[in-house]
Amino acid sequence: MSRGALAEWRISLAPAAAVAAALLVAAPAGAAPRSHAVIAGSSTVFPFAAAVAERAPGPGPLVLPMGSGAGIAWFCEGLGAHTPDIALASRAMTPDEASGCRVAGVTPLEPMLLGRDGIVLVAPVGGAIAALTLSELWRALAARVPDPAGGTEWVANPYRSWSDLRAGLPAMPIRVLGPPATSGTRDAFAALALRPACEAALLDHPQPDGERRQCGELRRDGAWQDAGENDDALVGRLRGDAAALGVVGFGALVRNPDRISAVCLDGVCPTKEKIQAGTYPLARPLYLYLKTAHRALVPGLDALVDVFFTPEAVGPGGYLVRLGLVPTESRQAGGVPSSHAVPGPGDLAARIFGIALVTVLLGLVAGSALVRRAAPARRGVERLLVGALWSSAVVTAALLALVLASLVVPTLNFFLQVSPLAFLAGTHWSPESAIRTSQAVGEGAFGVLPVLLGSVLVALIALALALPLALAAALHGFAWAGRRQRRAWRFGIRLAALVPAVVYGLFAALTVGPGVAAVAAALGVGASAQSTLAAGLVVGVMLLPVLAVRIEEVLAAVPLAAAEAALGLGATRWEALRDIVLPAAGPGIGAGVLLAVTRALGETVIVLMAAGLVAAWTLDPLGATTTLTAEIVSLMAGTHALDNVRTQLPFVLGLFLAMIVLPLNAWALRILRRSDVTPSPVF
Amino acid sequence: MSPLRRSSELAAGRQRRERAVRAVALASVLLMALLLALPLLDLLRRAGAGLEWGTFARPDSVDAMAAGMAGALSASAMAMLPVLLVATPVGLAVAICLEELAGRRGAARWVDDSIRHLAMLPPVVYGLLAFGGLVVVFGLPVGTPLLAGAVLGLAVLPRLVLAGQLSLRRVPAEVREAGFAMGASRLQVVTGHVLPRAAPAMLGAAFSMLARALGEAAPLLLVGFAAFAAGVPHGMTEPGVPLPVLVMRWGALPEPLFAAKAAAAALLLVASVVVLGVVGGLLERRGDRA
Repeated sequence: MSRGALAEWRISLAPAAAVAAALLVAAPAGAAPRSHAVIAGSSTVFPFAAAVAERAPGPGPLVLPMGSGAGIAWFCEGLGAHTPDIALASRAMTPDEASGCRVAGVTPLEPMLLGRDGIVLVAPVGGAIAALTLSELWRALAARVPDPAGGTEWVANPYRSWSDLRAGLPAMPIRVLGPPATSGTRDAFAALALRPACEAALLDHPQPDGERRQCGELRRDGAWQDAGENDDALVGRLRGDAAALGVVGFGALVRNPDRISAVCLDGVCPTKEKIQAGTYPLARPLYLYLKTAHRALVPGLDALVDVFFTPEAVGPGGYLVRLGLVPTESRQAGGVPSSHAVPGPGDLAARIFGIALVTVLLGLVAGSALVRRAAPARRGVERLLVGALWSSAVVTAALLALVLASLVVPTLNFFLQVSPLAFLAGTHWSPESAIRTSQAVGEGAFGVLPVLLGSVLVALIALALALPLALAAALHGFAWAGRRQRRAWRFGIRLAALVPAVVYGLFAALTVGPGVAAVAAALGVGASAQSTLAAGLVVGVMLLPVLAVRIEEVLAAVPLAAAEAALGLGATRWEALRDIVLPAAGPGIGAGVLLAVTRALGETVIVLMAAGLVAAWTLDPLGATTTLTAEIVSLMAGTHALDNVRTQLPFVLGLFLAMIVLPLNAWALRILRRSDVTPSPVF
Repeated sequence: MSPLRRSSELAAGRQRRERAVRAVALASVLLMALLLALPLLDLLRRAGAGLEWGTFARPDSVDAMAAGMAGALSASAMAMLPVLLVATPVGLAVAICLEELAGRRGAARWVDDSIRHLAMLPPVVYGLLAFGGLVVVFGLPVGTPLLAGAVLGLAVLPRLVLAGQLSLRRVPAEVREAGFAMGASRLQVVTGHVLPRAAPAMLGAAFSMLARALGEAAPLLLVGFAAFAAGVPHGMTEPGVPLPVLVMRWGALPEPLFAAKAAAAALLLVASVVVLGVVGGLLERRGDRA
């Protein structure tokens, strides 16, 4: 490096140091309480909490449905504005969780009994199953059951159809959609419905302790499907799937009386009275946990908590009761309030942005004013400005590289616990691993191949739809369209490529998914309303303009002299295209297709809304599927502590996805550079 | 059969093939237009029941009748501020730096390469990066427009740099050489000659990136936006769920009225993205002409 360059470097460090110093000074000054309440936890309690949040005075609270387990884990991370004020739980806090809370200093806590709920097994209205015994339900869903052929051995669950369990039941495949392992409903379902039946069976078929420990474990062959935390979304999925049952909270039944009906268990149907009296076998309490210390931190928290228990909410005909809450006599007594002022990071962040903004603006103003000055004074100023620009570039790259490292660390931790071979070569994806030690779920299975297969299938279906159409349409725009038509075409595809994925996702969820299922049913093939085909087709539609832009960019860079010569010698346009333009553009078009494939592999929203989130090791396009991106989102627990396999998993999948996408993209860009095309980074 | 006849028949066959291929290509254009219009028409048909003033003026609710998108509109608008005011100028400044001031070796090469690679990552991965970086380390409050803007700004930043570099590269080298020949300094050439010619294209790309950020939902789902935010946010640190995420929440609910309102919200999103895209496209076209 020359001496001049060294000097430039030294100068360039000065503004960077100044910005860093400003940030450090701003940091402690940014301590301020949060102005709104944050409520996180059970998705069964979520609608009630949301209804209360709507009516709370002051700035609107934020309610995050993430499951009781994940909600309590986040809640118990400590005090302060980065943790929730209230945890929603559809089960009592376990001793493990309570001691974790104590260790983190989250004391005192105020547990409150919000009301009662019953876990209900529901079928779409007019479903063929009206009643089951708990023993039948357990045999339908348990991972291991006594051998139905007789004897004392326990075997992996052999039942495929409801009629295998009892003669009177319909010959429908066993398929139950329910909440994932982070959910309190799932915990309570295991504890109230599965465990008693399992223990009763153990009396008749005594087994060593191994079976007892696995009591309450669900089968993993697709008969039980994790369908996300949100009860109402689960009801939405039942809408298109007449053969499936669902496990939801009583509230979902009350809110959707014309869509679902309850399956009575052990002869008791879930009603408000039976749940209140406790005679319904799957009745359970719903709790709120409040951090006493946060009463001083968050201004509206006291008022918010009171709104939960007003007569308009939980009195006869109250709005929570109309949403399906079964009220109880009284809430439990709270703890002793004490006050700690805890720093809030919100203003700090606002300040960082403010400083960055002011720095940039000042730089621009000063730059434009000073550059016009005479030469000698100018040179110093210029060096300063160049330095500032430089440091911004270095800081940007370093920042981005640092956050990339945030993917690597959880991944390394993950692979200390899970064998990389089991991850890369396993064909069983069931990331059920408990986020608490005492939870009734088995060891997770982390074979990523089914998820990868889902991603690839969706991308292939999308490409099969988009490539021929986009290629033919792009050739039309290139060869046969007039000047104005061609301009309109280029403008149009770039505009269409900006349409957000969520628009296509909604179209897929509301129309294409049920449409595919209806067509398949008319042809006599079973298909669910969420299928690989539906997701793939809609991703294909989204890909159409993107692919058209890529092909158009390549065609526009092809030298025209040879093609024009061919036309001059009497070739038709198609002949010139076929023999001259396409061979020249071929590699570039291939690279464009690669870029489109990586775009499809990275597509998240459409898949989440239309694919059904079931990891299946199958090529059947009519079944539900899941992809790397969708699993990243659905496994993201939201707790800050990335200390176990379950919470590290999204980061592992993110890095895996990046390692697939980056080389493909880099390859495509290298090919494109050879034909002198720089693809627009906007799409 | 005379050779003359055969060649004219051959010519006719060639013309027929030309016409056939052209017809197929035109049909593809029309089919593509139909496929792209289909989602919009379908959503327009569904939006009927959701299209009333209250849907746009009220905050979100668990009650389908009362639910509205005022909070989401406010959150989306505020989330665009960091993208527009921080990510865009920084991204374009980095582009100027890399393209006009830096060499092609050493640190410059490294910065250039890492930005190029980061631009290839799918948006959802930026959600993970933002969770690890912005939420856990910097402690930005979840579910607020501030965090949404920071996440989206982070996600578009590398692409903005690339778009800026692309616009600068379109300015012919002669412009710079002329400037240097007249004794202008490097920075004077950039500010006085290169930037004025590159500015329309750069701004156009910035508008297009803004449109993409406005419609992006995937990275937000990972940092606490799959949530319910009561009320309308009045500040950057009050809870607010941006419009695309609200469309996802409503679209998953079984109540048909929610689906109708989700469709209305999605159409509004399309309309805003199209406006931004048209402005961006026109600017870019002006850049091409200059």
